[in-house]
Amino acid sequence: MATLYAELEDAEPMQDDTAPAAQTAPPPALADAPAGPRSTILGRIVAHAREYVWPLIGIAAFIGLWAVLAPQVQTSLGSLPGPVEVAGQGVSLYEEWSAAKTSEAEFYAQQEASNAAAIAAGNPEAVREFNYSGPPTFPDQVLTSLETVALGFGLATLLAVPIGLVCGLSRRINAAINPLVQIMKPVSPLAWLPIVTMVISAMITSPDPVLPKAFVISALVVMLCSLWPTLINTAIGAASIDKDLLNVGRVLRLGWFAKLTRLILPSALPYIFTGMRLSLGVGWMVLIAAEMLAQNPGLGKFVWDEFQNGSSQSLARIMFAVIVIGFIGFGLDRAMMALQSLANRNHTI
Amino acid sequence: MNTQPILSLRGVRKSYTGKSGGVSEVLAGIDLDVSEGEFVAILGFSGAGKTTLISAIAGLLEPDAGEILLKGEPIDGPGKDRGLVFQSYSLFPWLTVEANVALAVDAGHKDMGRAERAALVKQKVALVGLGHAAERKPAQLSGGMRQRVAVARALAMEPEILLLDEPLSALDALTRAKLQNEIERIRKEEKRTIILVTNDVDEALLLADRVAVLTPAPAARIGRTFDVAIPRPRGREAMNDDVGFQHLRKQIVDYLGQLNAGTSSGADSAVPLPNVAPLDLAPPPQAYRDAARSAVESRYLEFYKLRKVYPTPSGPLTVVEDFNLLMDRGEFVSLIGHSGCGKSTVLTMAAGLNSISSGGIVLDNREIDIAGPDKAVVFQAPSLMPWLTARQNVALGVERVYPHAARAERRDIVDYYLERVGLGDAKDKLAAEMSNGMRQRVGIARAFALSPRLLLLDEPFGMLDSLTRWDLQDVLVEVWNRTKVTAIMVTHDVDEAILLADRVVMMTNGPNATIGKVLKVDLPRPRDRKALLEDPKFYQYRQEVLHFLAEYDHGPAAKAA
Repeated sequence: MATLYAELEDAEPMQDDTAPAAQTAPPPALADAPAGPRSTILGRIVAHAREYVWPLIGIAAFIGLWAVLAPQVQTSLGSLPGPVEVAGQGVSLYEEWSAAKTSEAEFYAQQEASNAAAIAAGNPEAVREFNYSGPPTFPDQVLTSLETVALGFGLATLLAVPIGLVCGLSRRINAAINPLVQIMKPVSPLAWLPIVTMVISAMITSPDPVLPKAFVISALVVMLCSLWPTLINTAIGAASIDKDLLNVGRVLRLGWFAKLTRLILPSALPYIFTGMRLSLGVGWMVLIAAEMLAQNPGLGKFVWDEFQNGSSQSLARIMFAVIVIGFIGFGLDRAMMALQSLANRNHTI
Repeated sequence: MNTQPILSLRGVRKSYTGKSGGVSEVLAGIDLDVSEGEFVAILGFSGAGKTTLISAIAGLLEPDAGEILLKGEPIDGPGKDRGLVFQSYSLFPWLTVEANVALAVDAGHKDMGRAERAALVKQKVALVGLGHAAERKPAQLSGGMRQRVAVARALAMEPEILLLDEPLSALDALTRAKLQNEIERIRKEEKRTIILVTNDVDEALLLADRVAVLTPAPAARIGRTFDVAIPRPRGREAMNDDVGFQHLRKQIVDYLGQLNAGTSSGADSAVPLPNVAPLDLAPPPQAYRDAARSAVESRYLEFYKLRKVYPTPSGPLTVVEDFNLLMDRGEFVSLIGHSGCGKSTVLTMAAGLNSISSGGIVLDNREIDIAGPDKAVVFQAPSLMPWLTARQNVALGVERVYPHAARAERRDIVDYYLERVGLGDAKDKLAAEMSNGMRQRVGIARAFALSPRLLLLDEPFGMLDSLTRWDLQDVLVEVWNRTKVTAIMVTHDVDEAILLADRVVMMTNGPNATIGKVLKVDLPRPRDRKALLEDPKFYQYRQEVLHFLAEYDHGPAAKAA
């Protein structure tokens, strides 16, 4: 059991908010200024702005170093692009997207016009309802990636939480499942991919499936890799319910369903959300690799295509994608953190 | 007092700025003089700012206004002239006892030679009675031993003033008593000035020359001070008979009660209790009642040759043996004894939470074998679901017991008991947002609302400070007077045991613990704390229980402490 709980350390759901408010107090110079609502508001703004000074300095220093050092590295595609080139590629990606948007709008307008003309001419058979089929633009690829990870992560949560609860509540089942979890957990997505690909290809045989094959494959690989943190943390959460609370349940003779919904789930909730946050982080990392190999039209495929493309802008485009991947991962983590602190609310005694 | 005080505080103030920008004033002008060699106890209740005050004296925290003078000089940060013992031991877990103490010696006595310092460490470790454990790490020590190390560390700086910040509040009653004796001995041997912060009136009276009462938060200041003119040495039993002690104790208790008057409890309920009986308590058929009546009133609860054996790696350990007790319906029994004597084991067996090794417990003609709402338990930790409100917490049980009652009736039952325990205004507050005292009130309401056959209280007030404890004892007395439910309460507190019970059952030390003595408390009900403190009978009973406890003041706990 001990090994299963090893992950608890970085999954500690409690946050220490009890530190004295001394650091956030306005600086003494401002506190001594003649009292008035204006000076305190100003003081708070200054105090708030101070929190951002050092992060901004750090980012600026990094960009500076990048700009200086990148041109020194020579590759077959020219020197490594600096921040300016990468930003330029960001803009050009945006332009490509808006160009695609207008051509799409034009396509539909044209189609509608020709349809209207056909109907007016008394020729309803000539009405055509084609979908626009231009190449996916960068935002489309980001969206596909988000959808893939959402499906994989959703499936993983649906599977991991019940199994985790069962593990947490029964020592025997935990003992039976724990070795499997420990062995499956470190397996890389690249190892799962061929297996998943073969199975899914055998199962999805229709020429026009509901979900594209590559999409399902990537999502399943994400699921297989992001299952474990949620499972382990849920098991810990269910196993570490306060003994006295369980005794309260026994005194009240709660039935198993009431016990589950009113006692076990609520008290395991902070752990479950901690696990889900870790899972989503893993899922997002795994996704890029899975998409590269499964050719799912997402960010991973974008990076791969640019690599194969090998034009002079490719490196800058890949770097831009890397930055976007980082920002999305950060955003997902922050969103999960907010959910997590919501789940943590009212749980500390 | 013609000499200059060693420590004087002049109008010490401190406030904190909260996250939302609100300012809360913790100390509002503390004035206090302490003369050389004096033992001053500062008595105050949780959240009164005791720790802020002692941190200010220690120099860990700068007051906003006022000054702290040490021999007439303002203090400047922490210094080796003031040794501090924290509530939570604060030892370095990776160092041995000796190394922990040596750390302070090395820091405080840089001018001494190596041998001299080693001798000083040895002397201080021996002074607190840990000579045999000098090589052990804190993790291998009990709570009492850890606190001794902390005292030794503070003394190792050879401070002029020893500051003790509730050093004993995390310990159980027996260990606490032992360490109180220890502090008294150290006071005598070392002749230092000592300032003790505590929330325990008896502790203050036992140890101090002077008791200064801190008024409750917010904006604490020193209220009245009481000179303790009881001659030393002060034995607990001897003090109990001392008229001066009885008088002073009553004075202080009354004064604290006045300070606390704002938060009175047990206001009259606006909601009448609906007349529904729990399903399984509904009266049986008339014929059955006629047949059963006689027996059930007088032998309502019966413990018969109760025994509990726990398997341990070194063979089975009999914790409780040959425990026999008969209780009438509507009787209140308190179970008192030293820690580890199996009181709680008996209680959990009666609750059906713990299996019985042999013998039996019969409640209302039925043998107890499984936990259920007819045997309500108030746990030491409030054990509420923190994500539910007070009302939902109580309702959880009420729904189980009154499934046949209308929704409105169930709601009335919940409201009735919440108002009884003084939570009429906080019914929809989340348990997570409550203080510990409020939570335990909900715990009491939850237990009573089940209309149990038997109410079991497992040191229900053990985790609360004494003022809150008194409040809750009053609440318990009040609710119990209305319901007269058969009850057993496990406690460490002699006053509590006598105040509430019809009989005090004293248990011998474990293993193989059993009933040592039963004291019948013949005091009129309803009982009032103030009246009780004047009743000579009360002190007589107190004497008997104290004497019993002193007689059994050994056993496994004694070695560990």
